[in-house]
Amino acid sequence: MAFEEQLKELARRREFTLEMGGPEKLAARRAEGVLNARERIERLFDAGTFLESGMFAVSSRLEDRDSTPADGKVAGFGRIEGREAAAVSNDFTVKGASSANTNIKKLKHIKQTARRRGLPIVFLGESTGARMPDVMGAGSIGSKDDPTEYLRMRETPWAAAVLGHCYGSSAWYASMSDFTVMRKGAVMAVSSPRLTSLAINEKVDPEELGGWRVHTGVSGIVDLAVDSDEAAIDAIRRFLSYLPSNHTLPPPRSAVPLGSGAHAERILEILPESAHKVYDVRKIIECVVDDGSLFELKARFGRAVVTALARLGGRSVGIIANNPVFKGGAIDVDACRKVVSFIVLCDSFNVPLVFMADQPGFLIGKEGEKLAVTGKVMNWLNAMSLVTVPKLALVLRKSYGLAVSNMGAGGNADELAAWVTADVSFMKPEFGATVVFGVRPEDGAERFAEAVAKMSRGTTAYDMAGVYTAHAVVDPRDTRDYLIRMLEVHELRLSAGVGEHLMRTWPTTQ
Amino acid sequence: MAFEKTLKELAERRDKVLAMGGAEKLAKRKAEGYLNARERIDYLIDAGSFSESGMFATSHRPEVRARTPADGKVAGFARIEGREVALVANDFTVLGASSSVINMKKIKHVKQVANKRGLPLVLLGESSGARMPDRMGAAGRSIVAQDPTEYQRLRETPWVSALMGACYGSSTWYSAMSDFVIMRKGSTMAIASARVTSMAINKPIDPEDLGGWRVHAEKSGLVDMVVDTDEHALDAVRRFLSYLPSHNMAPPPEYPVPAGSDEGSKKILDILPESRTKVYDVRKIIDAIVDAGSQFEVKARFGRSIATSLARLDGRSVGFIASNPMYKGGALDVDACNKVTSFMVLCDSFNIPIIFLVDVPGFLIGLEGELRGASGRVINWMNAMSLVTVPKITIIMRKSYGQAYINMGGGRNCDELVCWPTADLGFMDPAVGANVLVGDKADDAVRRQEVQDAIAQDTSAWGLAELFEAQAVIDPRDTRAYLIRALEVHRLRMSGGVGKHLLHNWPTSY
Repeated sequence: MAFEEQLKELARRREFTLEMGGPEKLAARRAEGVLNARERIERLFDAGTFLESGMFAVSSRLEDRDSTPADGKVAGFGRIEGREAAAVSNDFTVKGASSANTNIKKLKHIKQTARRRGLPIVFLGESTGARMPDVMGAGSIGSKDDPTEYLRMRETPWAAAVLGHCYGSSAWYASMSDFTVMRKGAVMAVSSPRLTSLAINEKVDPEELGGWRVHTGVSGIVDLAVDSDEAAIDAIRRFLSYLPSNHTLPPPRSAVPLGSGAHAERILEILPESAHKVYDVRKIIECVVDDGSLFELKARFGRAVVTALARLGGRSVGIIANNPVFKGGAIDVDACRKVVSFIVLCDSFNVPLVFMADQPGFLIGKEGEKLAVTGKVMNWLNAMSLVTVPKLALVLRKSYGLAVSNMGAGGNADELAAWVTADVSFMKPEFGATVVFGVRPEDGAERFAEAVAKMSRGTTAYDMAGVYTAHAVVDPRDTRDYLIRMLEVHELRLSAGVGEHLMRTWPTTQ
Repeated sequence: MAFEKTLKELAERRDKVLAMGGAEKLAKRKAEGYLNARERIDYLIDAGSFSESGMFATSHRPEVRARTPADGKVAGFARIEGREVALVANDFTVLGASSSVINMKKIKHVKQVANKRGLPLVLLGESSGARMPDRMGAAGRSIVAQDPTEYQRLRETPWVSALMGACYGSSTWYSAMSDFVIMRKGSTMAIASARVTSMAINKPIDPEDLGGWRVHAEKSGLVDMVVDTDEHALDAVRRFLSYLPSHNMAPPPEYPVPAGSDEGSKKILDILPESRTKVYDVRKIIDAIVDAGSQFEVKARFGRSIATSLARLDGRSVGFIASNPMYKGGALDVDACNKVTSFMVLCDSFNIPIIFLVDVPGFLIGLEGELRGASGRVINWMNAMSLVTVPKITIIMRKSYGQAYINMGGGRNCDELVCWPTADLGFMDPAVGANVLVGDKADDAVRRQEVQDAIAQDTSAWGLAELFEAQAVIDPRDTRAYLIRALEVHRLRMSGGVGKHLLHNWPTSY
């Protein structure tokens, strides 16, 4: 055969790369039930669609060439449900997928291509951070020369998975992404537990430093925690299904599953008749949206508000709903942050927003003030005012105080509809009785009840509809039909379903 | 005299408005040492320059019309150091300067004029929140809170807030949106008053604990400066504005250079310790570099391991972002990251060049930071950094390690990077680096020392200069002269000193 030698060489080099960090390390991973970098890529992309970039890239240090297949980061392009996407998968078996000159170039190329050609990027993270000794010393540190490395303009969706030890680049990309999923047992932190314990001179437990509970429950950087590599990658595929490939397109439309819209009656069973009883608003959302389409983000963070992607009549929507089951729906600082980051996501990728209000106001007190609650409330309203995708607001039950505006009233949404159960006021009537009329419960039940009644005057759905601050009063069972119809009315037809993306540069962590 | 009666009525009506909430209330304030709303305006502005807007506006409710001169918010236009500004001063003696239908129209008008005509907006805060019963019920909501751009901030012009008294409701919201916030000690700011809060949480609460100056200057970071008197607060408003242009389409004003401004440079070598393990206060270095007496620090009590100061060099405004080894050895924590991001947004939005003074051991790593989303804050800083379009100059004074090197302008993240000969570049402290590479077992001591020496040798200013990653190595005493010269080179001459303001709609709280 002609070129036999050269082609053999190609095959030999390919084999070298595909062996990654060697059979021993790969076997150890398999025994632990963890996928390797290439298995993850296979799981992510439609079969046979992976086009690798930089298969033969290795360390720029001569002495490491033979031990750095793909320089520790497998990169390239593939299709997800038929749509082109880019991906970088860290190969932990090669020098802990540490960042070094060559693989930084790979990342840069993939990012540039994705940005220029409008492709989502998937970062499959597992890395130790900067490679030593490559980045030590003035000369090496000086070789970083990309001032746009951490620029996020949200031209295309970014999704990250935290699938092991994630320090350095995988932590940064997880922080910059629109969606971050974490496999339980993985650890993400600015620096590794080892380096951290050296620096602070005490032992550090990796789970406590940067485990899934930290990042889904407290820091809020992770949107979803799952049990396996496979589930993490499936979650990324699912997340991307709600979004367009890039911000110049509307989200893809899906077929409406059979049976969607058949649960309207259940809403009346979930919603308690007593205003003092709580319920889980996610059950209501499930009755409203296309069957099985509810995909909640940050379910363990700022739980008094639910943020979820879903579909209505096959179209993607973002739902922001107070959840009385947590803190009675009182909105705290974490909830504010979560909402702002969700608004930025939806507005940047042309996903209409639906608000569902049932909230007693912001959670007040010392804790919130220390965390700058007033600033976070303003960030939310500032973001609201910059949204250009359609915003539809529903008032389910109570909605009190300034938060009424945060949830879309006061002209902050394009349409405001009240359920027949709506009750909108300045504050909880029981407080108002004391604050406004100076009557306390101890002043006698009758007098107090009278003051409460005075506070509750003019707060019904029909009062709002009467002054046309509510554009409609809706039977809860008609909610799905109303929303689907209104989304049609408010379709961004003058710009082919695409918004103005005024918050495309906003910080990626709120 | 013709029109005698009519003119008499004008005079009488004027007198009534100027009497504000009545002699008794005014006397009480005076006894407490506080200025009233009109005295504050007089103190703030150039004498005789006030043009009041809405002097005869009152409550729209007939029953309180007579008791609501100027409807509790004195508004209008005036000059500060000869430059036109817009302002709103809350008159607490009139129904606690509570927000009502009419005075919200006043705020809206003044704000609109400020935005349209390029005037800074000054908000003198002291208010009790929404006025009752104006705002009760659906009808109340239908005439207030109907402006979806009420809380939008696009940074067309600088906004300054002074918190002087009890600040709830609008004073709180506007301070959260402002570029600079001063708080007079004894004032309180919170999302709800101590009274309402204690009702909600069912126990007494100390206003100072809830929202006093310590909370907001040290914990929430919402307040930039704390002062002792109303007069000092107003002086600070004038001083802050002196560094800024009237609007974002103009460069900042230039001032004469005070005599003796070049004398300070010599002192730098006395301030900087020769031993790299000794600390110093970087603000003294800044004082030695800038025009005499021109340093104006922002958020001095928050995220103290980095100082953010406005100042002048050769009469022109600059913003300093300077590591301060005095606190936490200069290690950057979450508060420091948030402070820097907010300061970059300020400087970039108003065409003020940024100077980084670097002596940073890295980010403060550990559990607390991770819980607060440290990686996300590092990335927000980098994202902001990559969007800055005003000139950026970095001076590496001593150490600059790890990712923080990039955050402080390294890796082409600034327009010019220069080193003092004392600069020490590397990825981490050489001792920690050696530990990571060799391990910390005692029998590795010799090998560890070798590695440590090798690391230290390769991390000098010269290493960076040889690779042209540093554009110059300068004698610390030449810093002032160098900066003045480099800022001339980097003047935004193609756009009349005006940047692109890519961060102009960023959130107002971090």
